[in-house]
Amino acid sequence: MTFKPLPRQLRATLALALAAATAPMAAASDIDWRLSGFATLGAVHTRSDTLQFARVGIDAPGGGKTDFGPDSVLGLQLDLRLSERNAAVLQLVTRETQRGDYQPRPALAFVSHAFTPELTVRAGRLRSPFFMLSDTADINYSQAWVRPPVEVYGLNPFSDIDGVDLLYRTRVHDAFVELHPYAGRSRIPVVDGGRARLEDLWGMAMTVEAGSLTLSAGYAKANLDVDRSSPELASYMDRNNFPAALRAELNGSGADASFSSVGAQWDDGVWRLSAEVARSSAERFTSSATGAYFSAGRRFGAFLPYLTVARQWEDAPLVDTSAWIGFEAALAPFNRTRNQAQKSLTAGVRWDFRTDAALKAELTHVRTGDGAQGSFFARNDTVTEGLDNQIINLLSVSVDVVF
Amino acid sequence: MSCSERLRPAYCGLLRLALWLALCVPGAHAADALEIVIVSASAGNVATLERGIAEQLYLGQRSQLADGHQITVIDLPAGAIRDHFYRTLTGKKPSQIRAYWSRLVFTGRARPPREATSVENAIELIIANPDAIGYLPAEAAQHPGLKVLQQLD
Repeated sequence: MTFKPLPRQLRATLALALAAATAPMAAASDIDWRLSGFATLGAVHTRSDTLQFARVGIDAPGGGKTDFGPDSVLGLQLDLRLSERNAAVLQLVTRETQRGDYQPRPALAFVSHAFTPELTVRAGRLRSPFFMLSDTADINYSQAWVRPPVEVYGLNPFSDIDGVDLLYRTRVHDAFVELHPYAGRSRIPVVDGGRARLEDLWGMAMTVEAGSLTLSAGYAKANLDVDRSSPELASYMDRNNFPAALRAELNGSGADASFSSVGAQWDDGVWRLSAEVARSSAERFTSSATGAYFSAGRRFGAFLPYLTVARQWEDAPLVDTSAWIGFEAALAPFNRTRNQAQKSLTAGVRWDFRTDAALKAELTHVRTGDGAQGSFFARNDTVTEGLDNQIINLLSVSVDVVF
Repeated sequence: MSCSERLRPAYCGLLRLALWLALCVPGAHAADALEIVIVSASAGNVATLERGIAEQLYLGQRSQLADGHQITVIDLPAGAIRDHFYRTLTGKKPSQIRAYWSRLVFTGRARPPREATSVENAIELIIANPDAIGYLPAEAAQHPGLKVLQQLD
């Protein structure tokens, strides 16, 4: 683990939070504040000599066959109630980043104002609600499994947005409805160097809870910018004489991108079922794909065994090679590493061994698609043939706590 | 319960494990016979409280009464009384409730109820705050500073 100095933006956020936390307390002793947190210590073992598991776009490949990077996470949250209607939340999360370090990132840093008991506006850093569970992607304690199925949650690595949202939460008969429109932008580092951005992002998430059943749907649109700046990529493009027009399909700005999902969850205290279909499409710079999963678990006291089937299909590759005669071979590894198509079967068990902690273990049997590396990175040379169409077994173990 | 000497140690271990697991199964608590009431300070601002509103307050689905009055919700420490309260009011099991609240809190949607350190501490917090509500075993609610808003059964 390496800890880099905190970036300026984060130092400013921390200073602001500290000022917000201490100043009003000095002024009025009745300021209401809470500190809470969540953590996962997780290890995943990949049984393959050529490939290693990663949460593509979220953590960095690295380490040996057993990797603590994909699942381990620590989050600390400060909640401040500033007045009857105004509140502020700061949540700092540290997990392995796309750069391979553990630099903390504010996952939440917003102020909120309640117009009415049912309608709240929030502004600042917010968790992105693209898919049914994407705003709880780090909160592993809240789920049965070690990690949300990568076939769906690997479709969009943008974990937070800087912007504004509205939460309209109301009762309609016996159902609880949440409408969640949002707008803003998002920025994340790219593995091996560079940045990806979503600009002019807007979307809507909707949830209906009725008894044991929760239904969700979401849609978002944005302009995607990708700047892959690794020297290896630059020299690869030079070596293969990629023309400027081809480079512009790999890096650039202003590609139309959209994300959509529908999902359902059932939890009656004994059975826990969930299913979701999600789609990510982009005009350029990344592949377009559809993912789906179905998961079923049953509680036996403190134990919750579960089974999950999941699949991702590629709808369109990063670069359409038929338009680039003569470059097919050079583009193949590029398309393959951005193709996460795979299917998997996971069997696992969650054990709530304390009131605030859970131990989970799961075995995942993965088959990656034709021309796809799935949720894996090459251990050695990415350009090597034969990294697609693989059968790989993963063993994942984690301990989740909330405090 | 002690292990019979005629059983081999390995079976003893299994027996203990089985017993322990049985105790983990919700529903095996003596607290099921408990009568629990929702209370506020008798001099406080909360005049009445419908059961449905109480459920929404304890599920973080609202933090105010219908008239816009902000409410401070008091929780008891983790244990049989709390588990029984949530099961009775919301129909959710303890593990469901914890997972549910972790989703709400760590997505910044709601603040968890303020956790008292004990029943006595909960009574103190409720009496000290005119906008607070809490839940107590019925016998602990026989306090001149408290009024019963809702009886759960």
